[in-house]
Amino acid sequence: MNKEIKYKFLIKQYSNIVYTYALYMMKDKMDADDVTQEVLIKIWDKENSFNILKAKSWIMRTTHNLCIDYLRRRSISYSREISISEEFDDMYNLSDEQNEPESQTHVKFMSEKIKKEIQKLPENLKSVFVLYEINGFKYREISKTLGIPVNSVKVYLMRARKKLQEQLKNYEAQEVL
Amino acid sequence: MEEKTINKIIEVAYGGGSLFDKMKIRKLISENSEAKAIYDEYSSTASDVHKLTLEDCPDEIISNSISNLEIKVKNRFFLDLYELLFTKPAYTAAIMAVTSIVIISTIFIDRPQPESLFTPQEVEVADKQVKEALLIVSHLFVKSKDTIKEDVLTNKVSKPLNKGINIVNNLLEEGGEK
Repeated sequence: MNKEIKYKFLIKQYSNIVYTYALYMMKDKMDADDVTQEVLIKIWDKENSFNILKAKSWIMRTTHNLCIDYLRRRSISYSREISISEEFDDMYNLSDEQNEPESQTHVKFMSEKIKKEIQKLPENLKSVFVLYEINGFKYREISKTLGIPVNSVKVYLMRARKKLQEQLKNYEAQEVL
Repeated sequence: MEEKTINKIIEVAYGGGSLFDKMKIRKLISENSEAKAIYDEYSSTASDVHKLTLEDCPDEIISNSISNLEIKVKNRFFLDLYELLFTKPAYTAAIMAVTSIVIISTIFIDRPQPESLFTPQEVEVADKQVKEALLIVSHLFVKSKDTIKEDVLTNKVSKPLNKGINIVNNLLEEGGEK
């Protein structure tokens, strides 16, 4: 019974973080769904093997490793066509007709653009960037999750910010053309 | 501009850096237009990035996980019982101890007390009779002891034995004189 309560607590606490990370990493809603489902199953199966205080880094490390596995498998045989941008597009289209249409549309347009550019980042930079800027992890937590030194986390984060800026510039240049 | 300075500008634009760094960069961007352009550019992107929120995990994924968990919990009942009994001897020992205590308590504490079959007067009479019987037995023992000591040992054993020894003694004396 205690295990169930702990499991439900962990799901409530981390399912969105896991799903967000998977969505950015996989760029594909179906793969992100699969990764998230698999992580939730692993949490149940391995619940006794990790301390609840260290659950966050264990869960994110598992998510990261599963994303990498899926990406490797996908690189061998990639067939799906639905991209994360379509998933985001769908979400915006569904809720586009709400209050304050102009400002909301602008914010959503910018968010969409940023999301698209984030997903284009190289995997190692993207994982650090998403964990830090979107999931709100600290340097040390990212270091534990990804198994890299804290200094490398800082370096990757800086590179990711620069790369993102560069991509946004290119995007704007293309828009002007 | 130095790479290190640009990195600091980016860090501060994203809301990081120490208080000292922030003051230093603010001073720099107020004096240097290139630094200001970099700061504004990154600051704008950082603002958009920080507006991004976590995506909601689809309900069906969570409900699937919970329903899988319920199936597993049902199936695990006998496995858990088995594990409890056979893989954790401490639990087994504790259960055995508790069971033993319960059984012993049931036997000794909850056992109905037999009702008294005799009245106090009857018990007193019986007690008196037992004492009398014991007195008779005691008397018989004393009498038997006296009989053995005085009659059997003295008359039936000692006297014939003395008589026999005297005869033997006389015969030996007569033989010596001759």
